[in-house]
Amino acid sequence: MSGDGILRIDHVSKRFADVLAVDDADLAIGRGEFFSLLGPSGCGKTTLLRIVAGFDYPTSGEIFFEGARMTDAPPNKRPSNMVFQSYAIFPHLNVFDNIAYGLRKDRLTRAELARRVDEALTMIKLDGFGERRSDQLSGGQRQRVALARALVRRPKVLLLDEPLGALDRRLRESMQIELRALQKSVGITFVFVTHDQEEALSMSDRIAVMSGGKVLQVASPRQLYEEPNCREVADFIGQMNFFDARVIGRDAGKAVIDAGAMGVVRVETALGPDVLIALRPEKIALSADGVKGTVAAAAYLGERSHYNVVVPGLAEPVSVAGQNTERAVGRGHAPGDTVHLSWSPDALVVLPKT
Amino acid sequence: MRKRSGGLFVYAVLYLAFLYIPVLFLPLFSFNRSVFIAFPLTGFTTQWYAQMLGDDEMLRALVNSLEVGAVTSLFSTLLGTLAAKALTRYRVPGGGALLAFTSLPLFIPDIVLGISLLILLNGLQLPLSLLTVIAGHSLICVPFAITVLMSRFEGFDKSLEEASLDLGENGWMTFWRVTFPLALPGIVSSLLLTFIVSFDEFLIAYFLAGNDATLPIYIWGQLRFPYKLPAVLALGALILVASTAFVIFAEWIRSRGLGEKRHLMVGA
Repeated sequence: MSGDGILRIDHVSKRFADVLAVDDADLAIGRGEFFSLLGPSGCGKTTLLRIVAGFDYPTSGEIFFEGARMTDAPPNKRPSNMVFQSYAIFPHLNVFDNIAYGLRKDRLTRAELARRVDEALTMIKLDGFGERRSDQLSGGQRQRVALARALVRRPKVLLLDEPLGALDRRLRESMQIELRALQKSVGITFVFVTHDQEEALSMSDRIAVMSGGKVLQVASPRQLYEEPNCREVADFIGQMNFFDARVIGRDAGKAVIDAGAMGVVRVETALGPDVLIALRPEKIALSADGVKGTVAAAAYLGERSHYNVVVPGLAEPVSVAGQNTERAVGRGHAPGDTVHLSWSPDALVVLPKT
Repeated sequence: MRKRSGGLFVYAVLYLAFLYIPVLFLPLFSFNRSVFIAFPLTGFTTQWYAQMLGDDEMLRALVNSLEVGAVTSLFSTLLGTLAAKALTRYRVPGGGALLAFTSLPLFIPDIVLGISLLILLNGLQLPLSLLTVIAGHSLICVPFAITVLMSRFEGFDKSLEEASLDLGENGWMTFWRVTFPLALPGIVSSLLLTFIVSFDEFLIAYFLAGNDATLPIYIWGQLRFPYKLPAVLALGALILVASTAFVIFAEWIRSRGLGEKRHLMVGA
């Protein structure tokens, strides 16, 4: 059986010639969830979305919508609708006919059809745009029309393929907020494909991070950032310092880990003996004592400052981000300064060595 | 800058003169009273047009050519549409080779093609008729149709058809509601182009026509009779006017198609 949730991606793999585009993706997506597939281009996220939509068929594995097997169903038989990356607004139809396109089979009366389309136009704040041709619309408006055209069919799952990628930064940020609000108000499950980690973090309930066709981790945005499960995820989401380390013993349930120049730390982990210690730049403090290093580069960024600190014995400088909580003109650290790095043991993440 | 383009301008004028002046003799001599095609002109007349209209054999050849052209253009555009859709939208195994082989008739001399077809039809003991001409013409017209239509199909976003499927339509309705309207400029120019190719074609028709002459075959036959030449010129002049109108129409359709394509690009 398919288990809980509205959409089940059951051990799906897709092979194109000699490339494994999707490698054993296994996901269960819940009702009303805003779920993102996040990864660099070519990671397989769009292929996976197209398999869910029915444009591609998996080499192995199954797709279930609400427990019903849909692996071989064509797109027109699936309870999902898609917002395409290019929006795919029909150029020979006006906005009204674009939105009404998917309602033909419902055999609505003229008045009912007009009501449904007008409702959709109101939802996307394009009242009165029904007669416009697609080439008279801006990028943001086209994006909204594509959204309305899909949502007017009341799908169980809405699939979005990088829908904000073509918009400029300001518009993208306001559309992120709008899209999230819209998703909450219609209550439809969204599966959102993006390569933009900030976008995924700010909008999603849960995120699946993909790389090389594999799903690396599925977690909430907070969990992905604070508890990445591997180096790739830690590296892809935000910035991270990595240190080679080795478990040298056990003490009161914790592993004693020798992190070389970064000292010996005690952390709960079952991994080892060779491990990777990861530490976010903003979780390192420049303080009176701790690991001694020299500032190699300093960047003042307004609300925070960024430092690269060279620590003897480490191959790469340590990246440190400090909040500028005090108004202090002319103070702060300059290249060449000797500093001391400290951190809370809770801030350390132990990852398998890769 | 101006000076340099001056030489090119002269070249362009000479080129166009070489192209069009001989053609313009056609309407000129079709209104000339003398039966001989020579200067000086001897006076204005429309008698050749009257003679042409009274020539049943010529009119029948014209009708034959129009029929062959119409059926050929419909048939080859239909095949071309299907082939272009398959080649641009699906991963066809050996698609490239298929396209190359389909285009081969463009590069085989028509006389070779005509003889081979004649041998084949004789071997199959099929009677020669306008139908066999249509078959032969379709063979050379399909590559034109595929070329025109493929560039049209490549000109619009494949995800438009996917969007239609996604919005609940099946493949057939998607073709009617999205593919066909978007490909229409290409379909119209393919119809016009293949019609002209068929209408013009002499060699294959000559081999395959049997007793039903198409217009080029008829005209070829008339060249033996000098006194009939002015009427042929009159017919030629009319065809010239018709094809000019045709080309302008086709070009207009094509440029409309390009305009639409630009919008599609902006959208992408």
